[in-house]
Amino acid sequence: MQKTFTLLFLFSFLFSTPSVFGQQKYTISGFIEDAGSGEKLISAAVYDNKSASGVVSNTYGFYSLTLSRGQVNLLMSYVGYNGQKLDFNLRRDTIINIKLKPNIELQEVEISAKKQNRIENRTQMSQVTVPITTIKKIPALLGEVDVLKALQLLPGVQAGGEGQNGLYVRGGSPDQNLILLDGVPVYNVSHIGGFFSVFNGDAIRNVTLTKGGFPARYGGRLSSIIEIDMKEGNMKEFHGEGGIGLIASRLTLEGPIAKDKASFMVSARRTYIDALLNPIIKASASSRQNANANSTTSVSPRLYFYDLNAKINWKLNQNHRLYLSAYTGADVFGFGFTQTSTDGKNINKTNGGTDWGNITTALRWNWLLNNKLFANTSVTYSRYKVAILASNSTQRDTSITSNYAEYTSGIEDLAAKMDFDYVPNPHHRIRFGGGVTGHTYNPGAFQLQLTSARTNLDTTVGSTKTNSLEPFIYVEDDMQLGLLKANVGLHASGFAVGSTFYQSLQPRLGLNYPLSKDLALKASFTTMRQYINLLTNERIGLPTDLWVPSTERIKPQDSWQAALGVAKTYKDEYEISAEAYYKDMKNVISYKEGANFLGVNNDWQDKITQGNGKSYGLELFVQKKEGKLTGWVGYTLSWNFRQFDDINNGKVYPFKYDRRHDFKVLGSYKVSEKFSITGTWQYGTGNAVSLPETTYGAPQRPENVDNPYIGGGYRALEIVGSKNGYRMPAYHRLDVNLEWTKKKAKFTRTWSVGAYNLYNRANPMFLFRDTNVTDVNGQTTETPVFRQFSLFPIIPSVAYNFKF
Amino acid sequence: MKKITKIISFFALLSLAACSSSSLEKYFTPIVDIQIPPQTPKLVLVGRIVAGSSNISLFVTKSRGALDTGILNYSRFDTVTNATVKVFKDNVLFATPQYVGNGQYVANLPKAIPYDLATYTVQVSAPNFTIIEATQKMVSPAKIDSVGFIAKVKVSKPLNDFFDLLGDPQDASQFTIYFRDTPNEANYYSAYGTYILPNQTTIRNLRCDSRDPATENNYLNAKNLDGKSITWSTHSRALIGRQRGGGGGHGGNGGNGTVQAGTQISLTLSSVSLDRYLFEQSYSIYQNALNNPFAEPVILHNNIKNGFGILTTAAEFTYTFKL
Repeated sequence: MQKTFTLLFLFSFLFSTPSVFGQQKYTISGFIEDAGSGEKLISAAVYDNKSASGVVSNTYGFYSLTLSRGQVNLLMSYVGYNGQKLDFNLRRDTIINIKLKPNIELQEVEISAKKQNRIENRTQMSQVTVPITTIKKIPALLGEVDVLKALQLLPGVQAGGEGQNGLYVRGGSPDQNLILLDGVPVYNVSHIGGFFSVFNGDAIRNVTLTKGGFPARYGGRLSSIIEIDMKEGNMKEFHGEGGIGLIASRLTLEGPIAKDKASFMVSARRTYIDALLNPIIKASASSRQNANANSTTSVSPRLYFYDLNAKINWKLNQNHRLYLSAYTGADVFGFGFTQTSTDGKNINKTNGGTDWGNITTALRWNWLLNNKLFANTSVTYSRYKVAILASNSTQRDTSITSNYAEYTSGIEDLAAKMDFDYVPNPHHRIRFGGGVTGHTYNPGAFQLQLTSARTNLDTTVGSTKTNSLEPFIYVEDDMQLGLLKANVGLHASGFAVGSTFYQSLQPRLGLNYPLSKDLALKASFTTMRQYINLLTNERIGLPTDLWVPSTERIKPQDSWQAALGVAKTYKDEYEISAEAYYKDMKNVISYKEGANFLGVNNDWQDKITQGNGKSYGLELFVQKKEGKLTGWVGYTLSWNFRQFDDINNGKVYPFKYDRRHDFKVLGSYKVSEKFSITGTWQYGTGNAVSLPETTYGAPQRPENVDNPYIGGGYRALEIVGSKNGYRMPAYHRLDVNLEWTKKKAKFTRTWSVGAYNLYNRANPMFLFRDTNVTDVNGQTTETPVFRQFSLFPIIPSVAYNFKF
Repeated sequence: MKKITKIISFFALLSLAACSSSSLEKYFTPIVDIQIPPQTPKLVLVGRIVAGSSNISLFVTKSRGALDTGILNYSRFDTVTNATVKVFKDNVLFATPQYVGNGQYVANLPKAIPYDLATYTVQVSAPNFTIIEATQKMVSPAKIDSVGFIAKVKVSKPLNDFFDLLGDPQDASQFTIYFRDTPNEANYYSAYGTYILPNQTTIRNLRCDSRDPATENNYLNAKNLDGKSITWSTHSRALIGRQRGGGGGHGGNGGNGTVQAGTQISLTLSSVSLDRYLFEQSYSIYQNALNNPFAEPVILHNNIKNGFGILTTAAEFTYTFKL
């Protein structure tokens, strides 16, 4: 199968390129950017009306269009920007850097150019780009703009638990999503256990989700690629924006370091939950202190998270550009208590808490080798670390006893890669490259220190750091063969861990065939391989989730996905797509039955098992990107199963997030220049859950039938009929956000008032068994019950945002 | 402005209506009771058929829904006294155990159950219940060739005088069983034992715990040892206060679980069916996960068609020697 695809790729390349030889051709190339800020525009369209040929810009705004000598009628456009028209006689290779200005109303001149990037003209399927302006309008929990929750509103994407950031894309699990911030993987994307994402909307300029039909340049995960690009920094003038919300405030500054040569962007966000809670906690401690006059107690809570993004963009010359971007963010959650006796001789200090966070850095070098060949070289670093610590020290007169325990785990990556973008002619766009990532995993180490007059112990348990190396190369060609457009590619990857080396060839194919003027049939087939795994508990999302590598025992995860769909643009305003998909997964991981994710004594490999998964479904999506009313409607009908030899007696069972129906609406209506309203409504079939539905009394073991007292006697056994055999109640929620904007000459302010879960739906977070005890006339009756815990009732929010 | 006012009013009213319909108490109490479909009681069968034994003892009870009133425990279970239990050997009626009390149905056989590889089916019916059924093939016995032992001697006792049959496995006496696996079969083994002190007649029980690498939860999985000679080590511990035939007290006359030289040990090697092995694995995980909110749910292995429980077969060989 893989050989066939390789041959297909080579043949298609060889036989299609000669058609462009024999004519005098010249190349128009350059960068497309925002005229106001100098920010590069991704996927902006450049279209020659005369030859009906066009291209779109890459991630760095670069485009290259090779045309026949003679008159050209060039149209350039980008959604939300005024288009440009350029007529000239093409007689030599020409560099044109295009600057587009933002607009409000659609202009006639753009229509032709826009067609280039219309959904029915793109070979890529299963991909959605969400403008950051849309994301910022979406109502969010406590008013905190959340990039990942915006993606959860797309068809084929499901959220995990109530308010959680986990993304379950086409039946995959969260570890199967490659989330890239400026090209660097971010391993933990959540604050406060998943209620907020680590991506500060003010620092972001673009978000793209790819659910299937993965081009060969992507690899390393089975289910999705989420590319989040940070702002580059305004090259022209100094600007800022920020906001004050209920739980956090933000400030972003950007501007030129040297006008049109270098720029910076720095963005920070911090919560002040601690500042709000501190007086309450201290008052509570003070009230307890009065009851115990022999000592005084001081409390120092640490409860906050922060994010810091920074980027420098340096245009060395026309052909070279450097980007240095960094992100750091962390959650700090802990308490410290100090109890001091009134005579000051006895002091007891206790500290405990959990800290977790990411650091990412990327240095990228854009090199325009010639007007057809663009190269990007990246060196990146990413680290995720979680630490749970507890300490206690007791001083009695001169004697000091101290205990310290710390549990740490995490992952650290250092990577280098080169990507080339070669546009030999309008019928081919060839991308190729390669790279290598070095991973260091720390799947859980426990350090214990005990110090006293008689003891001095310092030991570490479970520290099993593992290193691995993951090289890859790829080549893909976006080609046009008559009416048929195709993206044919091959991704090859390897993984060296210990003495084991895994390798994989992953063919990729995407096809687009126009059925009529505005309607195209699309198909894709992709294979993917994943070498790293996230050990996560299905019941709760915690920062203690562990990233671990494939090993000699734990095989890499593999998948293949096929999709077939149609795409259409209706009345130049509505993008409509319908896609059916089937995804088959091998060697997916899960905790074994009864396994406990806590504890460091057992090798993590003993706790997990590998099996198979499959998911299939149908996604419908209608999106309106422009006009007074924007938004989308998405519906997914899907099935999602897992099978492990060690779970559910080896029988196939529904995945926890098997959701038959999933319906989402996002609507943003600009009532006037000053006022807009945005609402989202989502409905989903309840999550699958395992419940102990039956119980019976029996001898503990079969041989105990004749003597039940050997080895334990009788006991009541709870029977879970089948894994995930029950459904939680359906999930639905309405969120609304109202915005009042006032623009002045150099300052714009927006008041944002919203409500999460507007009609106060009690959505299930988890179910548990409990006992109702009633006492009537001295007669106690115990009645078992199942109960549902719901996390968020209606939660109002208000925020003040500004721009200058 | 009118439009804006109308929009805001609409959402404010919707929100107010929702909040007022759910009382303030509910707003601050995020826990509500939910219903699951009622469970129809099913028959439960637990038991084993042992080659060489002259009786069949089966336990029959019934299940109840998880939300049914009343809590089950070791002494309160739902016996079924009017069940009809039939045991078929190779599809021919072999025995009809009768209810003897305490949930047990027993059939005393005219002769011992043979060691041949027959197929046994147990069928249980009772008024108002769906008939349940389980089928097991008899397993091949494994003959112990010899037994060796390493005595862990209490510090204060002279060598080969008192053997530790108590305490942690690493401190207990270690027995090594030498036997040959039956070829061309997937076999699973467990061991248990008894001992009789010198000059006494009371039979006391020994539990065998093994930390052999091929052992999972005290069951030896011989899938990779097909037909080979097997050396299997177990640490044996006296089961204090659970002696057969009464007697009470601790396990020996040496004090603290030690027994003196001359004690008669009987080690039984039990070859068990795959279903038994799977049940024991799932049961061990089940026990560890019980009442642990962070543990993944466990599904107990069940081989009873239309019901619950476990029916297994076993073929046993006992080797007796003196310390």
